[in-house]
Amino acid sequence: MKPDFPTSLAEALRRRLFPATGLHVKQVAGAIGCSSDTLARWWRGETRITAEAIAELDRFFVAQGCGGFLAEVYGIEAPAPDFDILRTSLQRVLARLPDPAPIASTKLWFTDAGSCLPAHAGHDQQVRLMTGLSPLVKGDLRASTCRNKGWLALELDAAGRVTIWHHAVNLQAGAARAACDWLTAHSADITSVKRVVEIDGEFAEVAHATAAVASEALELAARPSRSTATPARVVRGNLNDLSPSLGAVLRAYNEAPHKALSAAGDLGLLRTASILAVNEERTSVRSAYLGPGITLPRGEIEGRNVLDRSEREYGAMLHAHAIAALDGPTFHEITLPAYGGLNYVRPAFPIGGGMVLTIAQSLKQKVTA
Amino acid sequence: MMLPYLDALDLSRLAPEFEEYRDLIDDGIAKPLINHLAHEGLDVEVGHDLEIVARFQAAHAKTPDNPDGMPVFPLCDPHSQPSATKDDTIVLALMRDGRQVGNLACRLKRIATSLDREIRSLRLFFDDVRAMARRGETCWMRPDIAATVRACWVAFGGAGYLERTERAQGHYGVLVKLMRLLTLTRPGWFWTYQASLLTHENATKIGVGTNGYGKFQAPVFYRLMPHEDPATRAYVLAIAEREEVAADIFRHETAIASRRLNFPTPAEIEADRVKIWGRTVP
Repeated sequence: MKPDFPTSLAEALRRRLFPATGLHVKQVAGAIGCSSDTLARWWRGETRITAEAIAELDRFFVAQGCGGFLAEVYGIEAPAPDFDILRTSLQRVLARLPDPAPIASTKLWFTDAGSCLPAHAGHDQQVRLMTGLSPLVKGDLRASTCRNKGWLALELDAAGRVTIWHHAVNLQAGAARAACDWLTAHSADITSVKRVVEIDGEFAEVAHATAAVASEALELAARPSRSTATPARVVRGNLNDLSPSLGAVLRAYNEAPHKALSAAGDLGLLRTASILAVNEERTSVRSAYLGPGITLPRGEIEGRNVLDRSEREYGAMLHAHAIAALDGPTFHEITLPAYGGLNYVRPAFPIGGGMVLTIAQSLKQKVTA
Repeated sequence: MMLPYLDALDLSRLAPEFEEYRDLIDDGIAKPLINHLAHEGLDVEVGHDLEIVARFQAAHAKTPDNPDGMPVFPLCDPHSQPSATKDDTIVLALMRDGRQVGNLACRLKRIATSLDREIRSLRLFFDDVRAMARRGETCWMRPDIAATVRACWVAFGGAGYLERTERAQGHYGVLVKLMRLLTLTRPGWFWTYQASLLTHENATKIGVGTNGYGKFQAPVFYRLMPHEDPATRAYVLAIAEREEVAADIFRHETAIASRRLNFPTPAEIEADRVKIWGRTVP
C-alpha cells in the first residue's frame, strides 16, 4: 500500500535533512524563502504545504545532488534507466577527455628470491605496505631494504633513464640476476642507467651508457668476493709515521699539491701508485691510472668506477678513502686477510682537479727503505 | 649526527652465525618495536657521540634537589672518555615531538687484562685515571666472575634514563631490545660479553627483567670515596655472553614490546610442567 502524502513528504524530507545528511532545516528554509518553523510544520504535517513550495524544495534538492524528491513525495515509481542512452552519453564524455598521460615512471623492487615487485606508490611506500610499518616511522626505507635484505630498487622514468639503488656489499645474487633480466628485456626503451650505491651511509653514483654495461656491473657487484668473506683491516695512521720516501712526497705536497706527483715519479714510487678521479659532486670515483707494479687485471680497473671492481668491499673502501683525501692527505695501514695477510701502507694525496694520488708500499718495503 | 633507528640498523655485514635471523631482526623485531613506539608518539634516533648523553644528563642531572635525576656514568661521559669514537659508541635517544625524553648508551671496550682489574684500577671508566677520577676514589670488587672476562671486547651498557612521564609504560624495555640489536649487528662490533653495572634496587627489575641478565657479581663498591660507607656504594655487575644475548633476543616474541628478555614463553613453561606432571594437571 502506498503511504499517504504527509507521510511520504515527511520521509522524503527526513532522508535529505540532518542527521541523515549534512543539510539543516534552517539552511533549506533560507534557500526556499520560508522560516524554519514553517518547514518544520510541513515536515510534521501540521500545516499544508503549497505546490510552489514543493517545487522550490525539489529544485533545491536537485541542486544539492539529491534529486528524486517529487517522485518520493507523490509516490511515483522512478522509470528504469535507459542504459543505451547512458552508455552513449558516457562515451561522449570519455571522447572529450584528453588522452591519458603516460605513466611518469615505473618503480620496481627486485628481491633476493629473484621476484620483481611493482612499487607504484614508491619504493618506500611499498616497504611500508609489505611490513605494516606506520607512516609515522621515519627513515629511508629504500636504503634500509637494500642494505639489510640485499634487494635492488629500480626506477625507469618517461625519458628512458633508469636509476638503480643497491648496497655496495650486500646485493643478493637473486635480486641482481632478476634486475639484469629486466634490463635486457627493456634495453630498447632505456637511454641511460645510473646506479646509486650505498657505502656506510653515504651514496655513490656509477653511470652506465647502456643497459648491457649496467647488467655486467650488477652481475659483478653480486658475485661473492673474497674480501667480503674476510674483510680488510684498515687503520688510519698518522702522517708523521710515513716512511722516508713517502715522507718526501708529503713534503713536496706541502710545498704545492701538484708537486706530489712529480716527487713520487722522481722517487720511483709510481710503480705501485694509482690515480683516482673523483667527480665534482664527490659521488663517483674512477681509476684514472694504475701503476705497472700493481698486479691486478688492468682491463677490469683502469677507466672504470672503483665500485665496479670484483672485490666490492675493497672498491667501497677505495671510494671512501679517495673522497676523504680530497680534504687533505690521509694515510692508512691495510691488511688483507683474504690475500694471505697482505699488509701495506697507502697514503693518499689530493693533487688537484679532483685527482687523488695513492701510493701503496708494503710494510716489508717500508722496513727496508 | 642522529639517524632514525631504521637508517642506523645495518645488517650488510651480519656475522655468518646470525645470517638465519636476518629477516627476523629487520622485519620481525626492529620494525614492530619501532612501530609500537611510533603509535605511542615516540621515535628512536641513533648517534655515536657521547655529547648526546652529556647534554641529556645535564638537562636531567641528579642533584640533592632532584635525587631521581640522571647520574654521570664515566664510561658514557665524554669528559672521562675523550678517546671515545663513533666506532665504539652507540647512543639511543628516545624522542617525543622532536625532544629527547630518554637515553641509553653502550660502549665497546677492550679488556686488556681482566674485567675486575680494569674496574678496580678505574681504567675502565677513565682514560686518564689520575687526571679525571675524584682524588682518592676506588672501585673495589673480588675477582670472581669478572676475572673470567679476560683479553676480549665487552659491550658495556649505561646511561639509561627516561623522563618520569615516560616511565612504567615499557618504553625502556623497548630501548634495551633495540640497543641489543644494534650491538649484535653493527659492523665492527665483535664483542664477547655484554655487561652493565647496576644499583641493588635495579639489579632485579632492570638487570634480570628488562635486560635479561643471568649472571651477577656483587658487591662492587663503585666509586667509593675515602670515609664513605661502602654500603651506600654497593652495586651489582651483570654479565652475559654474546651467545646468550643473541639467543634471548633473536626470538619472535621479542617483537612484543612488553615481553621481557630472558623470560620464558607460556609455552616453554607449559612444556616443562607437562614433563613433570603430564597433561592431566589443568
